[in-house]
Amino acid sequence: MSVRDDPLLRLDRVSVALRQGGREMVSGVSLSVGRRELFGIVGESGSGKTLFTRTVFGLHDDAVVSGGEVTFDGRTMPAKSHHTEMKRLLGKRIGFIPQDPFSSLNPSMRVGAQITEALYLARGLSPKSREARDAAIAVLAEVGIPEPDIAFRQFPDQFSGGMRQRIVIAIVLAQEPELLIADEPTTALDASTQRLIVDLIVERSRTRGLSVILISHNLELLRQSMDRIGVLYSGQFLNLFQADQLAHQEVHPYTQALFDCIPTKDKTLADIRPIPGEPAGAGFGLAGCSFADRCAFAKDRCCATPLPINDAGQARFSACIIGKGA
Amino acid sequence: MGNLTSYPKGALEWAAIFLAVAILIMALFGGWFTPYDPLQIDFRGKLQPPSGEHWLGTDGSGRDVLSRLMAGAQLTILSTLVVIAVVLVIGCAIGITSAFVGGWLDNLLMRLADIWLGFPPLILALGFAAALGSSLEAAIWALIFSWWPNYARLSRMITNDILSEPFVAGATALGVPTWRKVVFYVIPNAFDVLIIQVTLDISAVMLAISGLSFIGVGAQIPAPEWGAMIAGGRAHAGSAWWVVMVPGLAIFVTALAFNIIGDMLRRELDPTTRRRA
Repeated sequence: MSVRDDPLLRLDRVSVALRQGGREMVSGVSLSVGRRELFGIVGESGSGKTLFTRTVFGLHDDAVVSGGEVTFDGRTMPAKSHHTEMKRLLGKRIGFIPQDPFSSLNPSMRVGAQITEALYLARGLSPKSREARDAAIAVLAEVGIPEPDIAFRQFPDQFSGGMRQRIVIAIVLAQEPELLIADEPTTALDASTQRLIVDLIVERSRTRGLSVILISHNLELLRQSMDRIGVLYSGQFLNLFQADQLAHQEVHPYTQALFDCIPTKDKTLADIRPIPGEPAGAGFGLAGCSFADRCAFAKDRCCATPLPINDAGQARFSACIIGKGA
Repeated sequence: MGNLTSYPKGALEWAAIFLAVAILIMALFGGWFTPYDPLQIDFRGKLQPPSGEHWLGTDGSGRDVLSRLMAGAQLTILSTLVVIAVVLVIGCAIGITSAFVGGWLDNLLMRLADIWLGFPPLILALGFAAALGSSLEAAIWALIFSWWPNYARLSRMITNDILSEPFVAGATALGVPTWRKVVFYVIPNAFDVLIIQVTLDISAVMLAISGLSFIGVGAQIPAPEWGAMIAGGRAHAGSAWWVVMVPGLAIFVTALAFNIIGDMLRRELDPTTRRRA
């Protein structure tokens, strides 16, 4: 496989709106995900990160891409048939790991059957064939399921949450996608399992050379494992930065505020600063910066000036008009 | 449904299961082993009380009640099962289509079902039976016509619940086509709830069939259908209790057995307790 520089996925000023009423929930997101790049999207609950990602990848029936361009592997999705075009990529070139492993496996289908079904849909392997069975057991072993040949015959309710999420990952990996989207894959799991699952996703993606978009509200988790991170707040795309260069670069005041409230081992309780005020939900259609009323640096013009958009598709970006983190 | 066999059953449940199985066997094969011809009239031997010769006595025309009961099981129970099977297939087809397609079709089908449900099933069936003429076939058609909305509504509701489960969204992301979703995702996961409804409906439909026959719009009197047997014995109810009591008890016991099994299944497979065992 030759290494290519053009991004696998490029979003240009993409906006997402509700189907009914047409209220714009997320607006002006421009970013690109390179081949083999691990990309994190962080945002609080209600920031629109799940809605946005699901809609862009055709998994949301109540919202539509209302503006901008989505380009996958050099091919721009036509605006009218975005949904149908995406559905064609799902399960073949794009894999999706949902939030809650407890309800994301079919409870009445054996683990093996769920993997061979995925293999059949993506690669046309006959579900009952020896070949499909071997491939399924191999992928179960790959994600660290002990005794994969026994697991093959078991039902999902015979596994713990962490193991179920491994099975979900196995199903998605079996389809050999180029882009893996994980929507808060660890929120339903306990802290130590979270780490293991994210490590597994990172390690498998690096080995197989996949691009990853991992959505989380856990900034620290993303900082430690992703290459780049995009920050969504109240449906606005505020910040885009390189995860490993945090020490040397300034970030958007909101990103900084998020880091300030993460407890770490060299912080005392007094060092942890919660962000004042309440998080704003998505979909208010503000012209200016939606973080302005909670921001320590906010000036009067912050609320009035239209929010900058990452037009040029730069690798680093800050939407702060007073120049923080740009 | 994996723990169906591990559920602790009391004596009542075991008795109900035993009775239900015995009744089903009788319905399937009983007609071949009747001691007498269930339609053979013998006026000299009419209204005989239970004896060694006629275990459950004879009716007003001297027909053997046991033979009629056994042959009647076939008519009553098999027509019940036919009604249930047909409304299950038709109702689920309509309900699942409604849930998958959504929009105006969903509205149209469900409002139609709502209007249909507005009529008490027995009254509606009575109307149909009156229009189609009085026969067991007419009663079966009538019940099919009046019972489908129950299954259409139930299966639509279950399908909508299942479609909102994350594993269906996951299936969409894996590229699972709609027909596979119906066959491998919706039907197996709806099975629990449907089987409970079927078991409970067996007694309801059986009572309806017997009831229609009793009031004369179902099976006609010489036929040994249980409801018709009671209707035929009414005149002698005071003097010859067995003529009405035997088929009456048969209906009662069968309905009770299937209701107990239905309740047992409901306790065991309740949607609120079954998901995250």
